[in-house]
Amino acid sequence: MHVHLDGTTPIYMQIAEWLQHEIIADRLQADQKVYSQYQLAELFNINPATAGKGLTILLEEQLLYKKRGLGMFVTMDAKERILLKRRNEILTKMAQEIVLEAKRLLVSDEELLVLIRKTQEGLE
Amino acid sequence: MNIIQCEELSKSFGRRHALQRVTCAIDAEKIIGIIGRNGAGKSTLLNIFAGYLKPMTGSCKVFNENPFNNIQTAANMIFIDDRLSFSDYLSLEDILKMGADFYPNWQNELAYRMLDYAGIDLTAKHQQLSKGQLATFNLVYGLVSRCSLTILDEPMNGMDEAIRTDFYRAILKEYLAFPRTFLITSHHLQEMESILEEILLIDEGSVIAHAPLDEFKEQLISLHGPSDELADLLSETEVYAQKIVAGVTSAVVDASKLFISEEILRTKGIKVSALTASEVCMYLTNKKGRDIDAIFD
Repeated sequence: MHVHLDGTTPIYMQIAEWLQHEIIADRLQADQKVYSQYQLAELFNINPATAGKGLTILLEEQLLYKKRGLGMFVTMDAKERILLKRRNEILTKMAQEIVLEAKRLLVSDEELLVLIRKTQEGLE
Repeated sequence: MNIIQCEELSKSFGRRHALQRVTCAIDAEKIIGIIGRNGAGKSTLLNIFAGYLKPMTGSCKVFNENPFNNIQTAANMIFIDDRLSFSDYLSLEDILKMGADFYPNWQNELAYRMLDYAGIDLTAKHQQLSKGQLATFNLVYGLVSRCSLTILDEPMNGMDEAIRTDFYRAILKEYLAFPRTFLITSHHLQEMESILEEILLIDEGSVIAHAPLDEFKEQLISLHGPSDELADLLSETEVYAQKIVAGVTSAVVDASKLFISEEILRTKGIKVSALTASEVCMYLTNKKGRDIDAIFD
């Protein structure tokens, strides 16, 4: 991953997101040790405190757990929880945007539903 | 733990107030960006930290001591700027040897490797170097001294972009290997912000912000949307900049004084976006009502 500095997403959020991606992609598995803040700092060329903030987000969401003196590890159900959370949060947000945009473009509710169904069929 | 503590520090040159009642504390082992416009007082403050200038009123403690003319603080501190000068008779190699004699944590081999990487000939004399090479040598000197307090005043001035990128990474790697306090000034905040932990913003001789980088960035946000929807909202918050073109308003406002969720704003057609650190600096230090467009009206 490349950290986008002129991007508007804070770097620590980008780090948190990257770690979640690694968990979803099984590159970081349950009970596996994750990168330390110093490794992340080196990897992404960022301040270790910023990297630490990214790790703290995952720790607070209980996607990681701490072993004293050994570092941080991936929680057993981390992957399922991330997927569940993404489904809830991201899909809700996207649905909201679609509905708003449809309203702006004067697309009726029926038309919108038909469009979604068609898109689904197109992908199947 | 604080390694620098300033209280009510003021300094004037003639009638010009360079610093006015500056109070700030610098923690140990952090990389801190000192940012401000030209003439804001950055260099004056750093020169006081380094013990080169004496404040007129107020106090400054570095490692719990008054740094002015103090050998104890000087031995634990290094100040690098473009005025750093060495004897005309010494080669770069000799200068490094002297550094090794003075600074207990000196990394001579690392200095050789970095200068070799930058293509700088060690048999050259300091004043024979080009502007960029001089800046590179001075920065290497500052890094390998491994002082608990390392002050870099515009360290990358005159360096080309590739070497600047390399040396920001070098600063970070040196910090990871041997944590210490770095105070770095630069006019190119964007280039160095990823390695910073905190930012200290100086404007007209006063510290106007000192915060972790993310918090600093998040204090202002930009709103963009239909003017009629935004008008009420803007009257309730502090507006740092505003432009209205054809019924569409773009404004930069204080995020802490905006009590409306992003979702509600979105339903009103108002787009919320974050700013970069250097944009936040610019808006915080812009004189209210000052606008380059006004000159051409």
